[in-house]
Amino acid sequence: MIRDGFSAELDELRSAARGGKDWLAKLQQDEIARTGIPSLKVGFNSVFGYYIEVTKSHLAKVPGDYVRKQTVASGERFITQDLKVMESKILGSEERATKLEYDLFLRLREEVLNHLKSIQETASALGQLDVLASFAELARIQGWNRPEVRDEGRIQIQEGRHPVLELRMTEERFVPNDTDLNLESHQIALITGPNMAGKSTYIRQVALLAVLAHTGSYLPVASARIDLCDRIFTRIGASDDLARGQSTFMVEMSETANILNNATRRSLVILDEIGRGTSTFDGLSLAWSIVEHLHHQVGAKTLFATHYHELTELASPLGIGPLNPQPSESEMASGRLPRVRNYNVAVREWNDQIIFLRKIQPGPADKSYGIQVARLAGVPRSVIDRAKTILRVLEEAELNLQHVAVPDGTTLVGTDPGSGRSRRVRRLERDALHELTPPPQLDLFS
Amino acid sequence: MAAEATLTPMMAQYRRIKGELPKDVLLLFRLGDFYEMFFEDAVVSSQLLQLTLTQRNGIPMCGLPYHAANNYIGRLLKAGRKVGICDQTEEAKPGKLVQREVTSILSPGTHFDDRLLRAERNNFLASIALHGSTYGLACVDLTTGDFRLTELTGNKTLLAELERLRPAELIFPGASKAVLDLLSETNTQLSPHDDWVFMPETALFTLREHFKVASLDGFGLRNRTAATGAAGAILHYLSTHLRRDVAHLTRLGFYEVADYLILDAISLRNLEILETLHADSPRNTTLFGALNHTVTPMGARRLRDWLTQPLAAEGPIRRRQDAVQSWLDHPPALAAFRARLAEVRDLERTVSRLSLGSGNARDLLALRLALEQLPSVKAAVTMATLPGPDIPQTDLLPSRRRRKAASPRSWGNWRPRSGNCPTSSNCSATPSPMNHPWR
Repeated sequence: MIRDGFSAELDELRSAARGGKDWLAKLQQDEIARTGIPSLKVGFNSVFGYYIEVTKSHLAKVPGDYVRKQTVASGERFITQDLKVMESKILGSEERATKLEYDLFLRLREEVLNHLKSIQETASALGQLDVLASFAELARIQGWNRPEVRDEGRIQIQEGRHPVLELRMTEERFVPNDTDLNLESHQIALITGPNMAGKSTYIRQVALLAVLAHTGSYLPVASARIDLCDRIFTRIGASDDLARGQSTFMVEMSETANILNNATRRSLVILDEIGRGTSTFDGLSLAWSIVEHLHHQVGAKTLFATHYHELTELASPLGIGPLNPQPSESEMASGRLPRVRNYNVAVREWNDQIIFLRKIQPGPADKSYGIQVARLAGVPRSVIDRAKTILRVLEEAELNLQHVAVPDGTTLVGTDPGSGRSRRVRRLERDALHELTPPPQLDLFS
Repeated sequence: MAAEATLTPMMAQYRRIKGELPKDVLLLFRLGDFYEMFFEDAVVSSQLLQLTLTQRNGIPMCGLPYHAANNYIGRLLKAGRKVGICDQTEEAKPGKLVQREVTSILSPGTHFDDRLLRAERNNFLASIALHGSTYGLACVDLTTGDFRLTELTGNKTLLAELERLRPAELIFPGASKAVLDLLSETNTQLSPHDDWVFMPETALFTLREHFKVASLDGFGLRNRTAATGAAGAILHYLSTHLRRDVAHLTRLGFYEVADYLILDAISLRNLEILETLHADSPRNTTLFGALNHTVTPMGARRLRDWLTQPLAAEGPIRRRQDAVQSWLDHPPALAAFRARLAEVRDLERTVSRLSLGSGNARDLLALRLALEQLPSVKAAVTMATLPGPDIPQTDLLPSRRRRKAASPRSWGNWRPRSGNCPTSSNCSATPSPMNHPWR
């Protein structure tokens, strides 16, 4: 453990032990010469110590000063007075050397501990520098960029990518997306589109980029402005709390309640499919009023992915394009929320198939594409065809429900017979057209 | 009892030692080449470890070979048990009862078993004290010397912070039913502890004595009654209850959650920051897994920290960004820094092991290797011209909590007492440039 030359005392003990061993080697030679027993050996075992071993065939030549100690299969073992004297010298110095060595180790350790605090502080600083250097390394190899961080409540991302997926995906190129949230005109982004289109991925991506920006890391973006948030809330999918005896919907609602009660204007809220765990009308109504509450009371920047198309009618029609800080009077009267903006995930239809482009674009989604997704998943053709028929019947029935009176006298968006009807009729007409005339060949990945 | 009548001197010794231990500690009693357990401990352990339960003079017992003890102890800790190690403290002599003593008590939050520890993860023991409506939360990682504390209001905030820190073990005033009910929602091993230990006066005394200071104001603990209670209790639990050496807990960091972006437990899970939602997903599908390009375990642990506790102030964020930019502006310095730093390895845990007396010569060699890197590490940092002369640690955190950092002594005269460095011939080059690199 301890190198020669460090401690004179240790060196001395060691050389005594070594010297003893030289003496033993010499003893063996001398005794072979003296007795004429070529196979004579000096050995050691932990019970008897050092001994001289003579094989059976030479026992007759053993001199008188040998003292018999042990009989073994191959011969006999002897000791001599000189051997015992030397043994105690060797063992004594080896033992003392070991002890001294350990003492020296302890002293050195003690010495190190005198600098404990400095070493700990150095280690702590190195840990932080390590993280900063790892951020730099990632930025360097992945081409990540520095986000601008201020305290004005904006989140603007150009060509943002998902930090985890980007690092994992090697073959497929991740489709970058923009984000624009602010407190004046783009407080709530409603994202509609079919399942599997990438809504969830997109809203998680924004949350992850926001988290990363707050750590000081660079981001997988062309450029970004990520202003300070006080908290990030997420309400995503079904939690695994079922085992604890809470229903999915109960969990969903208690998580939502937590958000509505604790989010502030400085928070970022990510909502994925609120109201899924209950009946359609319950769910839609709750989702609707939750958006209203976030808009009127909380004021938190919100990304809301939903399959309820009806919610898209909450958004300001001017949501596309330039800022629209002042809602018009008719807008207010209509129940539309000026700071809600519609987005959808681009989807192309082709021969009754759907192709997900994973591109977020302004405006509401056209329809849910649920039946096409079911077809992609391998649901039998007959079920798909039947579902299409039922859908048409249901949508026609829905038209007859347009005159919905709300007890407090306000009118719900989209219940205006004229506009609601024309919208849905247009949609039906277009669907019908679809079936008659297949769309022309699309440039699918333009 | 029949067993009493035939109590041998050794069993009397066992009874005495067992009697001095906290009730919930399993006693591993060294008998020659075995650790033996008796009575109830034997029954419990034989089930947990699938050992054969035997009897001697009507006393249930089971044993495990001492050379394989770590493996078994690890399994007991994993099962949430505490383990008292009773060793022979003198050479056995025939016909005489050998002296035995409990040398340490291990618990899930305080062990050093490398097979259970994950390098990139802290192993925290946490402590909760309640004062009025304020929770004090203290956290210690014995393996790194990390000691931090905060105060929180509201059950949700407390649970969120616990979810973030994921302590392996949690102590709290045992008489407080409310705290127990709240904490039982967590997945942590709960260790109720004596209430008086959490009392402000007791805690203050414990802390003052440990840090050898007259006042805790310098640690930012003025009027922090709840935090003081939690911190004092955790020290008391470690040193008195578990009989552990806490000399290497030289630092105490008070922080406020309001200085950080709050990610509650649900968001940490939903966004898969540290762990995947589904147990079978690959580990690099988490943000931590994808992002972790650190080269030392210290960096990895710090990254976990930063990801779960992002900053919430412009200045500190910009300072980190500036540091990143400095590296980006000097790619050769970055490459050199990372290459050298990798050799530093887990300096924190190495020095903790040395401090706790469990360190061996290999740890000293690791320390030497680490220290040898520092001049070139420092040179790389200088090359990258990180902004400011005092970048480390406190400066990268929100400034208002910046505590008074004790100035590290100059390491200039670091030398073993007897002159030359004993471990290797080229070691003597190491100690000289040991001024603290970022002072």
